This record gives sequence, structure tokens and C-alpha cells, in this order.
Amino acid sequence: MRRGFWATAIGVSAALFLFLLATGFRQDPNAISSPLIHKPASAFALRAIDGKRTVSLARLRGRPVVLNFSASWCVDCRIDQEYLSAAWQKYAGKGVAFISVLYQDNASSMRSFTRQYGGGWPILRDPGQQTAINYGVYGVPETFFINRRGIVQYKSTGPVPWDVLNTQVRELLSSPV
Amino acid sequence: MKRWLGWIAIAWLLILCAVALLAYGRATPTTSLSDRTLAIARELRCPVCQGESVADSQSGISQGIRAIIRRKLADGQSPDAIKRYFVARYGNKILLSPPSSGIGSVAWLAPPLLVAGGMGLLLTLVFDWRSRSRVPLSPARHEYLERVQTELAIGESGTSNEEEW
Repeated sequence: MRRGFWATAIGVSAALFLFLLATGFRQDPNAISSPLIHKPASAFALRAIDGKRTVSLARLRGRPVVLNFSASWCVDCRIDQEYLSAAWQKYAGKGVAFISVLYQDNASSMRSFTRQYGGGWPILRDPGQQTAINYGVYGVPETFFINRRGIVQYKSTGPVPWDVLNTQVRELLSSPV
Repeated sequence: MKRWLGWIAIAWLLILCAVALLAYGRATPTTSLSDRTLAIARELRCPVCQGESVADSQSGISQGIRAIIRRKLADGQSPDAIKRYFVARYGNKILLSPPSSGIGSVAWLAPPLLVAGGMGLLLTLVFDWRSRSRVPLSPARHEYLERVQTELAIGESGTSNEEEW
């Protein structure tokens, strides 16, 4: 009886331990989940760094949007910018709107950054990081893929791998209006 | 008589504690907007820092979060509603203490449950040990113990023949 109790106790503990290990090892330690996935994207209307225009998400309704938070001081953003630039050249003509939001950076640094690593799409100022906070940004670069209905389809933390970027943009393009 | 005096002393102590708590509650002034902002900010984790609260951090994002808290408090929103606003954007990771509902409740329930389980196990072992000590001795073991006690008694009275050793 006593042996049975101890065998059960050790068995249950071992099973719990293995369950925790199995659960932990299946998770990517670098992945930051977002509660915003499959939820309506937070509205914004921000001035571009060129000072000429204001871009609002509401006006882009019906178009797929790739919303990127970036900064010139961020090393990973350089790789990200090159991939985004290639994707912009490939998909902008198909109606995909690319937007970058400045994250704790200034306009002049970002201008020289885009000259070096590519760009051409609107880069918006974000006073007080209110938009970054609304999107739950932990750090840069972070990229949100918003479908034609204004729903966040996917979020990428760190530079978006080229294959992921292509897959996500194609999914956005195939999403219904 | 002495027992009554003890009870009276305990009753007085309890009354004094109750009065002190009431007085403290009434004496606490209405906290300012800044204090209330910091109180909420202390419960939120700075998203770009290592183990620092939004109240302690000087990062731009924490300053932005404090500004939002302040604005929402001024608009009359409750602290819970404000925390829910940030959880809806950052997830439960933004909270420095795990939530008391859902999966977060495990973090609150696990320590007392583990302590209770440990105590239960300890009590089981103690009772088991005590009940085992009450098991009647076998005749052979009883005879052996009697012999040991007799030999010990002889040894204590100094009549043992140590030369034999």
C-alpha cells in the first residue's frame, strides 16, 4: 500500500515535470505574442516626417497595410529596412500600403537611414509614443500586417524574414474586402 | 483571576488596533493625480526595461504610458479599466503581478497549495512513524531487548566482568 502511494506520487511528479518541459521547449523564447492578433487595428492619424501630409489608418481601409515601427539607431532595423524596401518595390503597385512609424528617433536621422537602407513609403512621427503603446510595441523593429478589413493578421518581432514577409503580404492581398 | 486579566489585556489590544486602523484610514489624505498615476504605474512592467516598473523607468515608452494613465485618470477611468487597457495591448506580461483570474491564478494558488501539501505529507509521515513504533514486538525481539536491558543494568551496577573482554 505504502509502496503504491510513493510510486504514484513519484509518477505524478515525473509526469508533471515532463509536461512542463514539453510545453516550455515547444515555445520560442524570443517570440512575443500579441493580444492584438485577429483584433481591429488601433486607429491613428500621424504626420509624416516630411511635414506635408497626415496619414490615417481609417483612410487606408480596404487596402492591405504593412505597419512597421522602426528607428535609425536600431541595428536590426537596417536588415528589416532592406527587406521592407524590396517588398515595397514588389507589392506597392498591387495596392499594399507600407507605413513606418518612428520609435524614439528624429526625422533627420531617419532620412539618412532611408537613404542608406532604402525606403520611399511614408514615415510618421509618433509624439509620446502613443501609437507604439496602442500597438503594444516592446521594441523595434516590430511589424504588423493589417488586412483590408482593418484586422491585425500577424505581428513580427525583429526583422521580418523575407519568406514570412512574402507569405504575409500575399495573405493580405488575398483577404476579402 | 489571572486568566481574566489576560483576556482583558487581549481585548484592549484588539480595540487599540481597531481604533488605530480607523484613525489611519480617516487621516489618509485624498491622493493627488500624480500619486494615483504612480500607483498604477508601479503595477506595470516597463516594456523595454529589465525588471523595472513603468513608475521607476525613465524610458520614453514608460513616460508615454504614464502620460496615458494620467489622462485616463483625469477622464475618470478606474485603475482596473486602465490596467485592462494596457493588458489588451501588451498582454498579461505588462503586469508586474500575475492576474488573480485565469491561468494567472495558478501563481497565487500554487504556493499555499504546495505548503498545505507539504504539511499534509509531513503529518502523514509523522503519524506513520508513530503508528509503526506501536507495533507489538515479536517474542524473539522481546526476549532480546530484555537481555540487553539486563546486561545494561549489570554494567551500570559495576558488576560486569570487564576482564573477560
